[in-house]
Amino acid sequence: MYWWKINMRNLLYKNILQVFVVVLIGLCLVVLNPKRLFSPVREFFFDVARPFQKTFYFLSANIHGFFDFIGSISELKKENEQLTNENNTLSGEVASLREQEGENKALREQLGLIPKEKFHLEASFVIGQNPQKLGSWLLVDKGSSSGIETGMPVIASEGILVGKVEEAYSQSSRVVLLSDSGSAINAVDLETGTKGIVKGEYALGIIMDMISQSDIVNVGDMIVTSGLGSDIPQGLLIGKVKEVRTSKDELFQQALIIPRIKYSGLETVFMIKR
Amino acid sequence: MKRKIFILIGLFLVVLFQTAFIPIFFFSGSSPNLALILIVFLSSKMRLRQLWWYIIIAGVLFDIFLFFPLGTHSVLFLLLSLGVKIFERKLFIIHTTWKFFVLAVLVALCSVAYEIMLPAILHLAKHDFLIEYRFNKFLVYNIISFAVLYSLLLRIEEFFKSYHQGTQIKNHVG
Repeated sequence: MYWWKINMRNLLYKNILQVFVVVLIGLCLVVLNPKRLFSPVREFFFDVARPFQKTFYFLSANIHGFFDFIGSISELKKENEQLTNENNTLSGEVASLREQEGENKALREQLGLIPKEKFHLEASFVIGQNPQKLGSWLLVDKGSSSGIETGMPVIASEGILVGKVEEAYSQSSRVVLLSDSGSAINAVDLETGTKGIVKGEYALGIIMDMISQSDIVNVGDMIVTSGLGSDIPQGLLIGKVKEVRTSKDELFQQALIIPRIKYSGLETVFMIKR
Repeated sequence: MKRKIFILIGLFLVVLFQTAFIPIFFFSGSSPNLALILIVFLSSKMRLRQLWWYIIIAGVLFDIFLFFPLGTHSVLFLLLSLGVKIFERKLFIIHTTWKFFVLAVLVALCSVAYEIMLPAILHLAKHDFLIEYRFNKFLVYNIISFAVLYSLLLRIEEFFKSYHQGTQIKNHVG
């Protein structure tokens, strides 16, 4: 009995020792983080996994869509009435918007914004997201073999900026979203011309920071990219100002921005090629 | 051999399921960690010696598909598995009903430990990750997912048991 106990204890210590050796090796790898060394391994796994990821993502999007539809059935009648009213109002607005279209074109030219048709876009399907910190990054199914490079801006339909390419593999790329804490993009208030830096708030939202105290930002203003100091062209829509507050150090103003689209529900994005 | 391949393919699919299927249903910033649940479950059923290659591989796959520095999750999962083993020796009661609750407590404890250790390891690596506190949701999601998946996990366990017995009989007859 005594020997058996000693043997068991030795076995446990041996196990723990082995685990700690592996843990130590793992920690060394984490500290050194040889990204380039493991890049081919990552690439291989992405290539193998891509069809599965695509299938899983579309399956989940369809299931989610189906449940959304089921949930909305009860509200269909109410929604129908609302839409009929809205349709009547919109018919009137269409006429005035036609007038504004020409005006808008002229203004875009004056501001130097690139018309959307001039972008060289590469359409891509979203095949994965960060499950631990949603709103942090997306995985898309186009990579360097399609001409995608690190730093390229990524937009959703209608020229709404979503983020930029952080890592490009041969058949897939990782897109860091605007709501990620590591994201920072120069932006401008379309109405007042106030400049600032749009940053992610730990995947929870977006803020426009570094707005000087003397500048004006109003709730409801549209925020677009300014095109300063990066590969991101000017005039890409980021979102609408929801709230204006003073920064913690009270040196600057901060504007809380609501993105125009839900990043978590994205299925297709477009990369702007250089 | 077949069992090993089956487990490896299973781990691969679980990690893919985690990144490609689950996120779309969760808008609140975190989602359940299926790999963690699976590892807690397997750690309570298998010996560490049998398990640790699977844990290392699961960790590597997790790091690859979630863009963490390689080694992060292997270290985490190994430590958690070791923790489960130590707890299991003291806590485990054979009765099926209690087994479920003990495992649920282990899932909860491992979720908390995971949330504490992950930012610490990444901090150690000097990556710019800030410590975020989202224990409540993460913990709740993991426990609910565990409760939902428990019967499925037991079935998988039974399948392996019967398969293992089958191969033993075959070898004996052979």
